[in-house]
Amino acid sequence: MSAAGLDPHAALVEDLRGQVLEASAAGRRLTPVGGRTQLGWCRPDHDGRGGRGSLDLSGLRGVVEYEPGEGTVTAWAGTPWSELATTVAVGGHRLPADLCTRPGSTVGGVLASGRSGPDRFQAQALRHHVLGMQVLVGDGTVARSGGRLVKNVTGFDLHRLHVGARGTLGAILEVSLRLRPLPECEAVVALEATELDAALDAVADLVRAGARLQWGTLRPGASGPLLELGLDGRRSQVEQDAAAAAAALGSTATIAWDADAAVRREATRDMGCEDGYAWEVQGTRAAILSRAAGGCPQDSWFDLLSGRQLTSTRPSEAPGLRVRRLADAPTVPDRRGHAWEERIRSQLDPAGVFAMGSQQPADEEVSA
Amino acid sequence: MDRRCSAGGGPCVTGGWLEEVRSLVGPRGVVTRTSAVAYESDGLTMERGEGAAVVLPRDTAETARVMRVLARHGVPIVPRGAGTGLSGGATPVSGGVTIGTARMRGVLAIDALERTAHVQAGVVNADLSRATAPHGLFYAPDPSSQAACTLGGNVANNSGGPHCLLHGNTSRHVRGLVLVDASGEVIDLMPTGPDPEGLDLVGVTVGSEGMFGVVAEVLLNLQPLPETVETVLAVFPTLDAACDCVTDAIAARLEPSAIEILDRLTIEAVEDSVFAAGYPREAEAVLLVEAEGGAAEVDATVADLVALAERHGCMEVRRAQDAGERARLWAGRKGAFGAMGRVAPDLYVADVVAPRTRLREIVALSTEIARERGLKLANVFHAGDGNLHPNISYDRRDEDEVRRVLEAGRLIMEACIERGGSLTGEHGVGLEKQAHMCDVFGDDDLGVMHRVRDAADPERRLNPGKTLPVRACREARGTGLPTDPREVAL
Ligand SMILES: Cc1cc2nc3c(=O)[nH]c(=O)nc-3n(C[C@H](O)[C@H](O)[C@H](O)COP(=O)(O)OP(=O)(O)OC[C@H]3O[C@@H](n4cnc5c(N)ncnc54)[C@H](O)[C@@H]3O)c2cc1C
Repeated sequence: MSAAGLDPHAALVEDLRGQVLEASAAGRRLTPVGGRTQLGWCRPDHDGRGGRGSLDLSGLRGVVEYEPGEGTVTAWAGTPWSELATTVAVGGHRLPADLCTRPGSTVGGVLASGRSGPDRFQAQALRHHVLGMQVLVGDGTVARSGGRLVKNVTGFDLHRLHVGARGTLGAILEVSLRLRPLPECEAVVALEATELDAALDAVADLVRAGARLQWGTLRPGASGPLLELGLDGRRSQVEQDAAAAAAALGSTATIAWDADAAVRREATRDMGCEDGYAWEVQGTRAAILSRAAGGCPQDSWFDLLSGRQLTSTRPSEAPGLRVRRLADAPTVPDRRGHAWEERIRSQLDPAGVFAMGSQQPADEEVSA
Repeated sequence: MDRRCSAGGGPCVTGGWLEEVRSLVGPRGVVTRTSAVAYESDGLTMERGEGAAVVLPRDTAETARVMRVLARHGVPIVPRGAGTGLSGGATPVSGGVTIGTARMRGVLAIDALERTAHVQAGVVNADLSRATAPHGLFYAPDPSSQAACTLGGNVANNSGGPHCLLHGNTSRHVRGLVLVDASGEVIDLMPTGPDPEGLDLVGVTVGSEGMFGVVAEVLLNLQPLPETVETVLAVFPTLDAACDCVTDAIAARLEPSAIEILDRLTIEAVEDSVFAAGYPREAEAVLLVEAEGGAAEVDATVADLVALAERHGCMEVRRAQDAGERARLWAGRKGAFGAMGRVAPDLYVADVVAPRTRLREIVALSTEIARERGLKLANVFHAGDGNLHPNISYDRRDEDEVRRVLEAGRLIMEACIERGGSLTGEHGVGLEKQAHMCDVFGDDDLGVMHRVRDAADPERRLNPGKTLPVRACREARGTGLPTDPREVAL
């Protein structure tokens, strides 16, 4: 089909469709790529089947609609996450997740990676704030689901399938997100935890008591494990809540405010980028808190309140914990709902254009 | 419309499988013809249908055993909670067996550190918050039907409620599911960590209107009971002013937990009923606003809202003085649909979403559409998220009135969509809005939805005849053919 006469985005979408149809006809595989900042788990150019191409979405960028009065934004998938954050800050909003991104990380890439930030404790995972999407699936169909408004239950929420699918089910083209207000005030309560056990018990007690925390992380500090709890919202409230949280952690806890708090928040958040680690552990809050109580090694970072740890040393397996090597593709063959998942994949991508193919460790891949 | 056995070709003849099913669930677990009248429709009473039987399993394993028998015999399955749905989702229009969750009412576990509850799908929404209160927790989504509707039905419809303004619809609260698919296989989608292990099958199941499987168990997020709750009733001289006040509150990024509007007709109906809440009869509209959280933030939010209301000409602000007064104010809101039942024998409850920047315009337009057709429209809605519920009272015995009601409903929906609104905010598509799916989605979009449905249920036996139009929109638009699958063989 000719792309002449279309607006630039439509022409680009048409071009991407063409690439998918061509790959499908040729039996080739494609990996959608945005800013190429989160591809540690797969190499777009190798699949042991005569090459894997990339479907480049970085050209598909720009804000389609930011309506401050609605508290929503719609953007093309190749828009850099940081650019979108800047756009919505002008209207007093923040993006629905505060997570580690690299320069150039795109909205589509962030969503496809399925990441959330530590603030998911309060805000819930990023996937809950996706209002709608336009995607390109393996047979070349461009399809929408959801919408642009904060409330809508029309049709199946198919966009949920693409969040965290790492591009293995299709390419995300356009996304609508719910926004959150920028807070009036921010605080970080920090403790260099000499008695880790007691400190983590205090955190668990705060959660059980319904404390208004946004996030909580544990990372190696200058002189021992550094426990940090983030709060934000109305100033008068945050002042009281931060004081209460500091009191609960003990007399050596300190409080950073606003700009200083933001520096601390960004520092610990950015340790949540997977590329510095080899392993991820997920589990219940209780399971992760009890792992953290065993010590915070130099090569570890804990998102305590979400139930996640990143580490470079192979973690021991334990009941209630899910251990994954970060370089592996996100899925394992015997997972729950696997047959159903396979049927979805073959329905949407019969030729397997976006399929992962056989999982091979990176070193074997190179020799393949 | 009456769609008994013959409609859709579903089996009314049961053969031997009914006995097999009865032996699995016991005699009290099967309801047949004569006593199954209550199961012929949901809250959308215009549509009725009759299935072969209603089966009420007691747990997940029993549900699976029943569904395996039905799979062997190719029997269609209609999942059903309390039947309070308003889009016809649980109406058996294609015959078959209704699987009801009325005997699956167990709260299986509550975890205060994880802030979750593990429940059977038939637990009634309001019962969950009662069960979790001793742990200092509550379940946030609160459909106005919460005294009756089930959590399984809430999951299937991704239901909302007044406090979903702050807390989000059901979807945001579902951590995990146990689902029984059409073949009778139990699919355990309980979480093993904060992120799904593969594709987000839980996320896509929420809001799938009973077409991916019978939800047997749910793991739900709970919220800490707020330290402070403040409920305010702001009285307005015009409905326009109340709408504008809401638009400005959203634009100012205020975060109350609920903002509801009730208009004059609704106030009158409520005040004449057992739900009388002391709403002022002289008001053209009231805003029922609630803020929750710490005392300081609640004070600040309420002060900002009151100042905004005053700028919009609000005549009076009442603050609930205690829990009793708060409960009364909410009882009026939640009883509003019931109260309107007194005005006329039947009530049509529309459910559309307006962009919050265009509330006044769309509310006024829908009132006008009804007025032009000689109908009385009462507004009671989740204003904070733009979710309108124009309610039209009618008498179903008056054919012409029914026609005018349906026409008004359609025009309101279309007006809303033309202005960037959505087709349904919380009641779902079901039977009611199936044909209108073509107003918001194209054939390619719907085609992909069909394929995902086929991945879950290749034989299309789960809740057949609902939600997705089976004819291409293009074809229907071109030739005037129905997009309603009940009119074609399944
Ligand atoms: C007075 C009144 C007020 C209402 N207020 C609201 C409101 O504020 N917000 C709102 O969102 N809705 C509201 N509703 C609509 C309705 O209550 C909700 O849609 C509710 O979630 C339906 O629950 P139910 O148990 O009655 O489900 P049903 O009506 O029995 O079924 C609804 C749908 O869910 C499916 N289903 C039910 N159980 C299961 C299961 N276990 N597994 C798979 N699928 C299942 C059915 O097939 C059907 O498609 C209201 C209804 C009434 C009558």
